[in-house]
Amino acid sequence: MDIMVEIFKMSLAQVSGIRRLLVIALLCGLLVLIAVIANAFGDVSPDSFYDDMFITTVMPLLALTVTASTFAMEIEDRTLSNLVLAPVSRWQIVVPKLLAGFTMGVVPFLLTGIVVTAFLFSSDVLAYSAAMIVSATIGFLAYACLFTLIGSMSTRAIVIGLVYVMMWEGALSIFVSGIKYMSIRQFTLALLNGIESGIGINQAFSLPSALYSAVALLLVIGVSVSLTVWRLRRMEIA
Amino acid sequence: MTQVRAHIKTRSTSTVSVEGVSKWFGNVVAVNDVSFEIRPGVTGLLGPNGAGKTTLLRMMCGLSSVSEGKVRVLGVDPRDDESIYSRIGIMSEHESAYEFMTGSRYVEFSAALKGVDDPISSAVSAIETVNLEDDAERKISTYSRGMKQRIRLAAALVSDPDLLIFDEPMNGADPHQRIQFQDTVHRLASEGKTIVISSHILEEVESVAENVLLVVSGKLAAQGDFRAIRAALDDRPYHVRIQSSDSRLLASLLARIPAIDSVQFMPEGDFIALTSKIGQLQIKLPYIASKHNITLMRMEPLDDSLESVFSYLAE
Repeated sequence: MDIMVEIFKMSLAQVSGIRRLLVIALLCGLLVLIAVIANAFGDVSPDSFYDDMFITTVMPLLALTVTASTFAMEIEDRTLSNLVLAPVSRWQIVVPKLLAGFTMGVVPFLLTGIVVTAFLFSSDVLAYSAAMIVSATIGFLAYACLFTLIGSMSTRAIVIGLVYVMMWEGALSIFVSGIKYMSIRQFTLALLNGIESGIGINQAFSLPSALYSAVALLLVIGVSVSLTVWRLRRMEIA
Repeated sequence: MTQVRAHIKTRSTSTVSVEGVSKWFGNVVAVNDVSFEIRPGVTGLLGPNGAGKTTLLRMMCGLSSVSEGKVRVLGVDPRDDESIYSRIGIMSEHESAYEFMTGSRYVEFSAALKGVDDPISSAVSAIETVNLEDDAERKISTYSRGMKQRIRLAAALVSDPDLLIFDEPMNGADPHQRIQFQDTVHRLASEGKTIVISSHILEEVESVAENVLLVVSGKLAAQGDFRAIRAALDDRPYHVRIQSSDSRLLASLLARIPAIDSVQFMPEGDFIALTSKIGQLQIKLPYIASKHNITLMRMEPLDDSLESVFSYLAE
């Protein structure tokens, strides 16, 4: 456990570079600004803004920013050997590194989410915030795990991640409706909708179902972490 | 008595065993059917650049898989059992310290990773070993290349491992640091540790290693006692180009001494002497030139490149 804490602290310092912090601040700041403007003019549906901007756009971009380079950075600057030449199980390396990137991104994201919720929703702010926190945390973790896996396999993880977010979850999902059953974005939105309907602040309408989505998100997390551990075990390190 | 027996047993057991190991990248064979054993003491892994030394070391460290064969380090395959790393200290060729950390934090972090009981005091002690106490609280990004090497050496030593693997450890080190490194290696070897040092510089390994593994073009060309290899090296034929104020006279005088096998005149007026006793030529040439008032302008060994030296030893 001590070793995992050490790796977590080191990884947190590693992802706290000034450029990365600026991107996080920019994305979160932009979201708050748009929420404030939308609220002032009052012509934007809170639900659609909440779903389309918050979870659909900013969450994957933020997750990509903080996790895609988790391993790619260490492979590039040849520091990964410090970790893999230690008597530590590979999962004890993967989990804290992943959690460091996740923490770095999810904390400002959720704080922004609470601010945005307070601006956009005139009633049930607490209930909406609670639904958002639960669904966004699981969704963010699923993205973080997937992007960490991609980062362990390629030094072009950011590009591959962008293609997944923009093409697979974005453009292609418009034309191929079945993609909603294989998309972290759709799973997160469905989970959010399911929780909102469960606590009585919204109606259940989404496909896939909240249960299917929750299981699918957990599956993405489990499979991605397992594959990253396997990848680290088999990796050829310079 | 028991202690003596235990010591003898440890020395006779191989720490590293490499059996029929090959490694290829696509069509390129980097290491070809190499077998050897490494026992406690200092072993030099020698060879020209691109010979496959680093690939061999990476396989020994478990950083790279073998295409064929078997690697055992302290009895296990390092790719399958990461617990073995608590007993191994590795300093790779490439700079790989966390630049955003201070020197002391980096060594403490390495100690924690290795499962050392008291990482802080172990780090202090390791930093003292490499004489970097005064700069330990500076960020590694501000270190010179030599200092980075030393802090990485401290990180490799911090867990007091049984096996130490150093890949080109003296890169970027100044003469004082080299001597210090050699002293550290001698001390560790006297404590019964197994130390593997890779280098492409013969003299660098000669000063510390008792045994040598010579790798040329991915194959193990020679192995054994360094003195035997050095003796073979001293007897190798050398071509030496000599330029002087009177080449004809000097060549005829040199041809009479037994150390010279032949002389060959060049169109430019100078000549090439072939000798298998380079030491004798070095002593006698200035003496003969001085005695006959001949001015020596240039003396250049023609086949002193590392590749030619290693190729000769491989033959």
